[in-house]
Amino acid sequence: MAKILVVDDSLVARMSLKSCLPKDNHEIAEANDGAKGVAQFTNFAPDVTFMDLTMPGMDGIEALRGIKQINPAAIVIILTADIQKRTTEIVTELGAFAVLKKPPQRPEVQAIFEQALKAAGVV
Amino acid sequence: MNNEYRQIFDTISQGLVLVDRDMVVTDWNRWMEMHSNISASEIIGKQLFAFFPALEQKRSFIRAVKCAFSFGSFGYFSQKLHGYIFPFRNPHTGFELFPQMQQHCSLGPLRDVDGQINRLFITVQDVTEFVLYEHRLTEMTRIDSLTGLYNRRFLAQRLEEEMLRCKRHGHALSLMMIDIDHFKQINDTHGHLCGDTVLRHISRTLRDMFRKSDVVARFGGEEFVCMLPETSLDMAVILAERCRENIANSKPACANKQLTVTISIGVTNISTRETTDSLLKRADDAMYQAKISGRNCCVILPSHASSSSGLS
Amino acid sequence: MSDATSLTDLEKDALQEIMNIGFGRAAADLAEILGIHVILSIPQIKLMETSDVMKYIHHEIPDTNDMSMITQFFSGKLNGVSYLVIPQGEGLKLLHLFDEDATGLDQEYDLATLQRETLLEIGNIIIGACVGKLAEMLNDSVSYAPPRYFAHEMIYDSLTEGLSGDKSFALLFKTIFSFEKEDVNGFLFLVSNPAVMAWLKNSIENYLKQYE
Repeated sequence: MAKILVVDDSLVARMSLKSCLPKDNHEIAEANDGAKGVAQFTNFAPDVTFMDLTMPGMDGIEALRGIKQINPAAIVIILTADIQKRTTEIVTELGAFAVLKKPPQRPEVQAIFEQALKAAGVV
Repeated sequence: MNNEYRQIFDTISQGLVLVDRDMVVTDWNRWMEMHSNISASEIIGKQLFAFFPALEQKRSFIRAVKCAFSFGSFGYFSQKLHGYIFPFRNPHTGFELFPQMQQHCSLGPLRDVDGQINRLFITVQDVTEFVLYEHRLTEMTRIDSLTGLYNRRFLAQRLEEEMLRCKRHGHALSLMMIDIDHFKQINDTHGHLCGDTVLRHISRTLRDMFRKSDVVARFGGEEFVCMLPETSLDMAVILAERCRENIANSKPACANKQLTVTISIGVTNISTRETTDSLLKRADDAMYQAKISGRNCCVILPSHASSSSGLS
Repeated sequence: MSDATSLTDLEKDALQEIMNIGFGRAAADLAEILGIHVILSIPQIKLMETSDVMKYIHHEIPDTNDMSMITQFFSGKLNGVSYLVIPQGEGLKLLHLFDEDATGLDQEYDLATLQRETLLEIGNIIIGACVGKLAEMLNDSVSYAPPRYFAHEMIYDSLTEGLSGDKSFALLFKTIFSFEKEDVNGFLFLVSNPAVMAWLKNSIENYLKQYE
């Protein structure tokens, strides 16, 4: 049982990610922009966060920074359509746990999620 | 490929090549065989680049191939930008101008039954004749037929372009305005045929003295303009004096006579705030000064001068 | 608006997400192919009457005097026209980025011709990437007419001509693209044939189905 935070401005994107996660009894919170995502991170204290990059207002990179400031060990998995090398380098430098290509594919998501849980110390 | 399409593939007067994702040739039509001297049996099953290594270095070609495989987009290679894609010998006239066949090429995706792009087609169109025709027409609008020099219209156009460039990059630009001394007299005394001979002689002499990047043009009946990009006023002055001397020392022959011809030259250079008109006017003023100073001399009017300095 | 000419909120969200992904992939592929970092802004989707498209474009690009435009018709189940608009000065920058092996530079072709040919080539690539990826997301494959080039005053004329006729709805996608190293900016509009709507709704439904 883990706490998962999903941050994405698209309802459909959040839906599709959730449907990829294992059907175990996890508690899932959502936020539809970067600022709310950071706020939720503080309030909800998730074990794993999934973050979209391109959001209006505060984007994923800023939100990632914000979260890392609150907890440098936070596990944040970036989901993005823009998978250019530069982008991956930037988020990895900021401490992202992994970068996943959109649209999410079940096997990939579940594999990364399992690794993330281990890293978060939740089993 | 069914029978009729196969016939079209082989008889069409265009090159058609099919390649797979590894750029291995899977089909090569008769037109390609004819112009490449490579038979289908030789090239099918082999990599395209094994026969055309330069193509692998051509970035725009590789880009288009990648785009076609990735996005299903079509690539177009106009003759204007690329000249040709396949280095085939020009099968027409105009070999000196275009030793290679000029081509319009295109490429695009081919999908299999599952809709996956697994091959590309490449088309090759021979447009050499059109290009030659276009070249001839362009020449006609740019060249003065009597002297073979550029005409005034072309000079004006090039001057505009060059001045823009110079202003942008801070390069120098010098200009010479040249007038044949006593030309009317030559025509009256020796006849118009001799006049034409003199014009041609001076044109040849002038053109031989300048570089390919300089523009030597017939500006008026007996006037010439030499536009010298990236040339300082000092250098232009030296060149002008050399022109004057060469012409003065030459003795063009016509109708068994040896004629004496001299020219008057005005030299100037470009300033920062200048139009083509103001530049030409100053060169003209300088040339006029040369005339009234006794002809067969060069007068310099630098762009920032209020007075002139002369050389004879 | 009747059902067949509008999108529900969920469909709009899905289409937006599909476009984001499509354009994101397009940017990534472009970057790999062109060898430089490409940024495609989040595509804006608007549904409007064909007659309003011109007003909208006029508003986004008030002055076409200094612009160049590439248009390309595409047809598959997704069909319509794409318009790539680039400010004049930017076009020249593109020339520097992509002209390494253009033989035209050795000959006497004027700058205008070179710029036009280069823009046509680059425009073709960008449009192909965006339309191609979008079509792929929607399980469609499109083919293209050769791209055409318009400059200055001709831009509005050609836009008006291309968009007249059908007095129904058009789907408009707008993105701003930039090449990071050279900071060239331009607009890409895709105007899709309104008859596409029914098929589009179906495609969106299929996309959502995989996540049920």
